This record gives sequence, C-alpha cells and structure tokens, in this order.
Amino acid sequence: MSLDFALLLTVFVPFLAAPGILALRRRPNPREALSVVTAIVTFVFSASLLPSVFTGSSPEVVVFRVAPGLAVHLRADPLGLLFATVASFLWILTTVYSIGYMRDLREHAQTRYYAFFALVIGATMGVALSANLFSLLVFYEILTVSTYPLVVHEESEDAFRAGRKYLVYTLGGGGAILAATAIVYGLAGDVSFVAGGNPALRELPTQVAQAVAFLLVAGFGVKATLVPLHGWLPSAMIAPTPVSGLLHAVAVVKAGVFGLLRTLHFFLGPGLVVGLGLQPILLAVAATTILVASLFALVQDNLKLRLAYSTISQLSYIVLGAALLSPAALLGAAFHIAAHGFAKLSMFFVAGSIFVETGKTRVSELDGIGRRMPRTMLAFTLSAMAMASLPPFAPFVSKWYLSVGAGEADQAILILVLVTSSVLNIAYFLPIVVRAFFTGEPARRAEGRPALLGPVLATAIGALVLGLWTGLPYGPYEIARFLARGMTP
Amino acid sequence: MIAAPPFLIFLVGAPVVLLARGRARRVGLVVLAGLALALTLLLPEGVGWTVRFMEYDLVLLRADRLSLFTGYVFALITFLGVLYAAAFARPWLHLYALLYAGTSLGAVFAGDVVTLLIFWEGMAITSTLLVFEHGGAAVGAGYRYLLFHVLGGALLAGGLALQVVESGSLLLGPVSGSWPSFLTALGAGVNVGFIPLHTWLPDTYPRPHIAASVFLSVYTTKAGVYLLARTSPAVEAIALMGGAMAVYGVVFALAQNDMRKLLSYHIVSQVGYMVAGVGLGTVEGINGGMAHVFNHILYKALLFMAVGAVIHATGQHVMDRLGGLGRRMPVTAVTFWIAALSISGVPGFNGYVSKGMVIAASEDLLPLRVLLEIASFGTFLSFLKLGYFVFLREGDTPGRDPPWPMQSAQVGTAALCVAIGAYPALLFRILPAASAYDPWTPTHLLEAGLVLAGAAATFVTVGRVVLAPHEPRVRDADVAYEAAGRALVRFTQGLARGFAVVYDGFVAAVSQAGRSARRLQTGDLNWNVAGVALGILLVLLWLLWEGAA
Repeated sequence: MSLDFALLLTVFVPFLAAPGILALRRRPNPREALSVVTAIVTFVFSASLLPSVFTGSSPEVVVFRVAPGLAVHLRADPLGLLFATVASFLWILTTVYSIGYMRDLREHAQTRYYAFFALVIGATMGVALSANLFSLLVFYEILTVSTYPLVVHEESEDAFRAGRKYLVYTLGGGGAILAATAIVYGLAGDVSFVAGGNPALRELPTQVAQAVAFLLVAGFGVKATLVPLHGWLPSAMIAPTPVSGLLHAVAVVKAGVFGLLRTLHFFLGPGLVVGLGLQPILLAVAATTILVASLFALVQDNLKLRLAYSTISQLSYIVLGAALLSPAALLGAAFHIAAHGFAKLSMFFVAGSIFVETGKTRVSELDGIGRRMPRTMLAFTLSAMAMASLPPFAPFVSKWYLSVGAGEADQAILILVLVTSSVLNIAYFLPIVVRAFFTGEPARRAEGRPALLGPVLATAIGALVLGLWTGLPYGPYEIARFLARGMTP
Repeated sequence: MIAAPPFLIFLVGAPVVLLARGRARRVGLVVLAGLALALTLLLPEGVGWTVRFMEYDLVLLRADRLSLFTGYVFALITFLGVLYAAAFARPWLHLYALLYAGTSLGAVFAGDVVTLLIFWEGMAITSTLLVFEHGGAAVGAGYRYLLFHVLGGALLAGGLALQVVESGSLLLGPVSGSWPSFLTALGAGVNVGFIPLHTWLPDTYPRPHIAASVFLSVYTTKAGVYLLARTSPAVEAIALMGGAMAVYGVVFALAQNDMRKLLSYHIVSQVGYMVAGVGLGTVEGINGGMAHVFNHILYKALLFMAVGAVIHATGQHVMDRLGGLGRRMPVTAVTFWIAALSISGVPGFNGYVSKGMVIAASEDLLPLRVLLEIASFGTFLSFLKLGYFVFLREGDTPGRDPPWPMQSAQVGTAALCVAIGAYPALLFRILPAASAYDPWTPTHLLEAGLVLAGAAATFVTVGRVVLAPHEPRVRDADVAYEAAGRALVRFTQGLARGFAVVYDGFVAAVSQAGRSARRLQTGDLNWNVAGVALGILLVLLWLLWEGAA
C-alpha cells in the first residue's frame, strides 16, 4: 500500500469507525473491540509513515480543494508524525482504560462516548498531519465540536455550564485563527506550512503581520492554555477521567501547543517572529503561565484540578521551547509532547482509578490510599518524579534541551523559571505521595481491575522507557532530534 | 584487575543481596560493601565506560587523582557504615543506603555533565527514601529535604547545560561564564549547605534511623565539596561562605540539646572548612579541603555511630536526660572521644592535620582565617559539652555497649582516625596533588594548642553552667522559609481571587452590554429606519471628509 494512502487512512479510519461504533450500540463487547482495533490500526498506519519521513520524502495527499491555495491537504513530516504517533498510541491505552472505567461506574451513553472519542482522534490526526493552516483549522474546529459531548457527558447543570464555557473559549480561539487565515490568504494567497517559515508572509505589511501573529497566538493559545486564556480547562475537569486525560495528555491541549509550534516555526518562521518583536512577549507569557499555573496547583484540593493546573504549567514548557527559536529548545519542546503526555496521562488514570475504587476526588481524602492501591500509587509516584524532570524519566531530557536552548538563545534567566517549576512540582505532588503511603490506616489491597491498572502502569513505564532509551528507533527522541537538525539556528 | 565503575556493584548487587534472608543477607551486605571497597581501591587511573544517551557519549568512569581520592573514602565509609547497619534487620534501609552509596560513587566518577546530573538526582532520591524509610516525624522533614535537593539539582542542571553551550564540551570540569558559574555553584551549594540553604541538614539528619544518619552524614555534602573542587575552585566568595558556614554551624551547635542535631550543625561547620579550602583554590587549599573531606567522613560517621549507640541503648536523643554513660558504655565512650578529639583538631588525631592545612592555606585572607579559628574554638567547646554531659558527668541512665557489628564499625573507624593522625603520610600519598605541608611544625602545634586550651578553659570554668543542655530557644532560617511558604499560599489565593474577579467582571460586562444592546431592538419600524438613515448620513459625511483631505 502506498504511503500516501496510509496517510489518508491514518486520519480517516477513526472517522469511519464512528458510525460503526454507533451501529454496534446494542452490543457493547464488539463495540469496544472496534474502538480498540481502530486505535491500534490508526497507530500502525501513523507509525508506518515514520521511516519515509527520515529519508526526506514526505507522503502527502490532497483530500479536498476549496480554492487554489485553500485545501484540506495532508502531509507527513517529523513534527506532525511525532504528535500523531504519540496521540494514537496513547489512544490505545485510553480506550482500554475507558472500558474499565465506564463499565465499573456503569456510565450512561457509552456508545456516544466511544463514537465521539473516535471522531476526536480522527480530528487530532488531521491537525497533526495538515500541510497548511486552513486544513489544520478545519480539523481543529472539528476537534472542538467533537469534544463537546465528551465534556458534558455527565449532562448535569455543572457539566453544561462547563461545556458552554469550553465552547465560548475554544470557538473564540478558532474564530481568531480563522480571521488570521483569511487575512493571510486574502493578502498573500498562500497559507501552507514551510519549514523555517512561509516566505509569502514576508511580503505582508508589518502591522498586518503583527495582527496575524497576535490572532494566531491568541487563537491557538486558548487550547494551549496560555494564561489568561486557560480558564476553560479547570472547568472541563467535570468530564469523565479518560476524557480529562485525553484532553490533557493527548488531543486537545497538545493540538493547541502544536498549532503554536506550527505557527512559530512553519508559518511565521523564526526570522519573522523576531522581526515582529514577538519573541519577548511569547517568552514572558510562557514563563508567566509556567509559574502562575504551578502556584494555583499548590492550592487545589481536588486532585483533577491539581493535575489540570500542572498541565497548564507543563504545556508552557513546550511554548517556551518553541518561542526560544533555537534548535535545542525546539527539540526539548517537541520531545516534551511525548514526555509530558505519558506521565500526565498516567496521573489522570490514577485519579480515575481512585475514583472508581473509592469514590474519592480530593487530595485531603487520600490518606493511606497507597496501602490500598500500592501499584497504582507507585505509578503516581514515578509520574510525579517525571513531572519534576528528575532522571531517568523522559521530562529530564526535555528540560535538559530547554536549558541548552535557553543558553543558545542567550536567555539564561529563563532557566530560573524551569528551576522554580521543578521545585513547585515536587511541592504539590509529593504531599500526595506522602499522604498515600505514610498516613492513614493499613488497608486491604484493592487495586483497580486490569483494564484500569494496566494503562496506569503502562503509561508510567512509558515515561521511564522514553527517558532511558532515547535511541529507540523512530521514537519521539529520534524524531525530535531530526526535526531540530532541520532547523537552521 | 577490573576497571568497572563502582556504582554498578551497588546498583546490581543491592537488589540481589536483599533477596537473601536473615543472617545470610547481613553477611551478604558486608561482603558486597567489601567487594566494592576492594574494587574502588584497585581502580586504575583512566577514562572509560562510554554509553550513548541522547545525542551524547556519556563517560561513566573517569578516574583521576581527585575522583579516586573521594571514591576511596566513600567506599571505605560505606563498608564501615554497612557493618554498623548490619546490626539491624531493616532490609529497606539497607537497600536505600546501598543505592545512595552507589549513586554517590557514580557522581564522583562521572566524566561528563549528564552522567553527573543523573547520579546527582539519584542521590537526592535515594537519600530521601532513606529518610522516609523511618516514617513518623522523618516524613515531613523528608518532604522539605527533597524540595531543597530538587532545587539544587535543577540549578545545577541549568548551570551545567549553559556550560555545555558555552564550552561546546560535555566533560565535567571548571565552569566559566557568569550564569553557568553562578547556577552551578548555587546548585552545589545547596548540597554543601551554603547559608541559608542549609536548613534541610539539621532538619533532616536527626530524624531517621540511627544507622541511616550515619550514611546521610557522608555523601551528599561531600559530593558537593567534590563538585565545587571540580567545577568552581578558586572563588573568593565561596571561600568566605565557607568561613561563614564554619562559624554559623558552631554557634547553632552550641545551642542544641538533641545530639544528632548538634552533630548536624557541626557538619555545616566542618564542611565550611572544606568549602573554604576549595574556595581558596590554591594547591594547599584544595589539598586541605579534600583532606578534610576524608578525615571528616571518618570522624563524623564515627560520631553518628557513637551517638547512635547511645540512642540505641538508652532510647534518649537529648543531652539533658543523659549522663554517666562513660562507665557503662566504655567502647562507645572511647570511640566517641577519639572522634571528638579528631573533629576538634587535637594533634595526634586526623582532624588536626587537615584542619591545619586549610587554616594554613587561609593565611592570605585574614577574615577567613579569623572565622576558621573562631569555629575551631567553638568546635572543641561544643564537643567537651557533648562528651561531658553524656559520658563524663554523674548520671544513672542505664545503657551498655551496642551489638558487635556496631562496635567493630566504631572501633575500625576510630583506628583509622588515630592512624592518620599519627602517620599523616598515609593520607598525603593519595591526595590529589603533592603536599608539602608539615603538621608537626611548632607554629602549627602552638596555634592548635592555644585554641584548644582556650576552649577547654572556657568549658571547665563557665561552660559547664552556661552551656548546660536545654531545649534551644534559637530558631534557624527555617522560620523564614515557613513564613515564605505561607505567604506564597496566601499570595496565590489572592491571585486566584483576582483572576476570578476579572473573569466574572468581563463576563458580567459582556452580558450587560448584550442586555443594553437588546434595548436597541425596539421592533419599531420608524426607529429602525431612523437608525439606518443616520448610519448612511454618517458614512456619507466620513466619505466627504476623506475625499476633501
């Protein structure tokens, strides 16, 4: 099968699975099996594109052309495949976890859940593998819309309120991106992604370019949870935990930072970013987000909210790396997509397992939970160490490269931001570990069922493996390194 | 002769030995530590064991005079500490201690920056586990401990990453450039106990198991001194900080009642001497600082062992409840006094040699010299106090000498203190650089003699009353950290409220604007026509104005 076709399937197999899942609504086991198989197939197709990208050829496919220069156009390149392979791999684990979670809680509307999950992944693949801003925007908006039913799954008053807030934020952001796309298309006629920046944008008058840059940063910044556009994420924690994990580790938020990476390195380009005076602003916003979000995490008692604010903080590591505009920083940022994804997803899975087994949601209720669920909490401990960028976990590699990148870009002071963030991560995660293992009464062992415990451990171990075995062939590190080498400093 | 990095022995051997049970395990532990010691002593100079990680070739084994010197004493004390700890059946303690020793050796022999960082953080994690192992009051302290060490490790990582960018090389060596030097020194400084980043030390070391304290007293701080010698020698500010640490530690030690907390403050103080030596950066300075590393590891571990034996026998941690143990625990008492005389720098014991080297090296920097002499005075005073109130004075605390593994460890360590004190050439042969220091010159003897005599006189006359042990009323910089932590939480809550006000305000304003705008929708045709007409008029006027301009 040609790679171009594999590329097409990577994006559309999940879309095609959705009606299949709907059709199987009366037969839960085949329905779940279809979800898992679709996830595996999607991952296999996305992974199959990796070797070709390393040799320099990029499979591509034009799906639908609206007008010249405006098409839904897919192309596999290193950054896109990094995102796509990580997302599709984690989707497999999330689907397995969802099975355990939804069944143990006897959740309603499971068919709707799995069907829209598939749509979300398809949209994510589309975002990752888009060759131009228009195509990315189309899938980005599909992503917004298809995540809505998942956010409001509970169908309570609070859920609908959170969903409304979610839509206002994300559609607003999408609107800003649309405006920017329209302006560029109208004035330059070309919205494609080019490594190092699209040359057509250099023709734009400075003020227009600044407006476009602002719109794109604000537009993508909503999903990327840049402070002060982050408010939707804590409210969205009302969703079922696999959804929160998906939103946080896999799809939506990473689509936001991915969009920013595309904007800075493949659309505006480093030269224009510096020329427009955008770099200091971006660095300041990223640094502020890292610190403010970690401070907020410190004072949250609800476990998922604490994880949400931690995510907001960690995502800006990626934004920081993107905005430093140096090859090492780009490597660190891209790798962190994978590093953070695995470790944070593990923590969300733990939160969900705790909720399923004990009904508890607050950190202050977790005394002694480590005696009851030792392997689950061990995974949480490992992930917490990962979040603090301790070796031998993957985020150590990201932080190393971000620091080197800060040095390359003459912004040594930003290292202090990374230092403070590491300390704050320990400050708000370690107490949970301490409570779990060193307080409370001895209890009978009662971990979650294998469908829950498996993904918990697999993601935590994944964060460890990615951190130790950087030489994994076609793995996230190799891809990130290839990407960085392609960047002229 | 095998040239393998010593950390491997511990990382691989520790889990294996712990599979055994009971006596077999305890014997296995001692054998493992002995094996590691033998291997380390036989290591040839050289570089090897490269491993590919990220885009770099890491060097896991770099054995030169400096790293070998430090490695020898680490491996030696590991053996003695394991012997001491083998008296207790606590497998997790043994595991964490061995891993801690292993990661420390890994850090010392690291040839490149990334390897160092990985082992550095490994040391932080394994030592935290060693603290947590005890449970109870140690857990809170362990949390604070890890916060500090993550801070130090992150600063160090940042500094070394910048150094790689500046120098283009991954090798661990002198750091240049203002940001790299600042961050690296500060990162090492947390481990070493720069004031005021030292509070974790007296907070943590007194709390876990007595055998754990022995291990804790060794690696973290001395690896920090090693790192300063490697990356940041010859910085006057660091030398002066060493002097400050020396005096600060002694002042707080004199106020303590808890024996291990007293010893912990003395760690800060004695490490101050080492830091001073390294900071001076001269050959004598670095030799003196490193010699002090060697001697201090021996006598400080011995002090923790002896005090640990007292705690083990009596169940008491504080001096005001002890007394008269000299007769009931003779071996412990003798080994204690050997260590106490060593730390105080009494001629004939190992501390005298290295302390003298550092003080001699400081002669060109008078303020430092004065600080170090003051600290020496205070050190002897403090140990006279400790020794008197626990062992010498009349008292009826019951107690007896500990089990033989602990006793042998104490005696072995004490013997080394005496041997090096009597024959310093043993030490001089392995120092990083050739040393021309002669400890037996009349000047050196006289200096030491005066300070010691002064301290003894003070103790015998007023000291016994003024320094009678009681709960200390002084608080260390911890109060500042606690206050800062509380302020941070309050600030964050205020910030969160601020955000909420802004968001709610924005939402309310938009809703209000919407409601007001709705009032324009009267549904009245006349109103709408008037509005459109007005709009057209305004546009025409604007076009005319633009046209005229």
